[in-house]
Amino acid sequence: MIDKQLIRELQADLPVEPRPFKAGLIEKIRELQQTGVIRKFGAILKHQKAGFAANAMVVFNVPDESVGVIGEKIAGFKEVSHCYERPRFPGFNYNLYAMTHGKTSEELESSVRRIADAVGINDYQMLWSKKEYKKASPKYF
Amino acid sequence: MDATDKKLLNELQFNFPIDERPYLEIAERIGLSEAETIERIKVLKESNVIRRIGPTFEGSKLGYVNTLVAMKIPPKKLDEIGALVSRYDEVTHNYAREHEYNLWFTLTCENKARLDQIASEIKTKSGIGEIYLLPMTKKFKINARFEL
Repeated sequence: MIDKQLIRELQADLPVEPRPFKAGLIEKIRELQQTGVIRKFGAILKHQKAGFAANAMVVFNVPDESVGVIGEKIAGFKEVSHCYERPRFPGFNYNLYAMTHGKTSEELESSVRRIADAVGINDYQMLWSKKEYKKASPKYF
Repeated sequence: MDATDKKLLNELQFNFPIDERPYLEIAERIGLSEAETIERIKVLKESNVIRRIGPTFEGSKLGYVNTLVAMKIPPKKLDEIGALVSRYDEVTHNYAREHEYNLWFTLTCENKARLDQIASEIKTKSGIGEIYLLPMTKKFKINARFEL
């Protein structure tokens, strides 16, 4: 059973003080890490402020039968934070998505070209983020 | 942000100790006092470099469902519909992008029914007939951490 109250409590920002964990919390967090409910624990940065000013969602049109191999390869590049296969839809024949980050748009463009070359896919597009309307952590329970 | 801040941010992202005195441990690793470390973290939070300190959950293990959504909005209405979409707590990321499909957002919902309900509400409220739900079919990488 999921302890919803605990999950709710854990979503509060950890205090920045010498003893930030309430009694008993450390064991509970470790348990949730072991079961994979908590994927990681630590600081989440605002990447634009951390010097990654250029951010693009890159979409590739990859033959269905090679998505596995190519997805793994693309995931291996340090510029890529997320990499997923998603369904194609009308007017959008792309099935592999990579969120990419760089210091400048020129630098990121050349990194993405290098990634595309490395996997031999030249049908791709960079969808630059023009405006960030929202970026938040999911709220559970 | 100086070299010490960068070291500190890397420790906070990649090696955060789940222990009684986490900031003291980090302070010792990078050669600062605990008080100085705490002070630096506070400054990094105030200047918004650090968004939050805490856990990242594997939503699926909590029973949640997640999808990316794409829409094609007339440019004049983009900001307005972008704002409408952002109002949902279940919307976690929402971006205007340079493409014919110019609005892209993610939904994280307690169940599929809620997800479909939000999609249909957005469709009605925005008056945009097409809304594409693009749940991932395979995950290759998820690591929103940045080595500085």
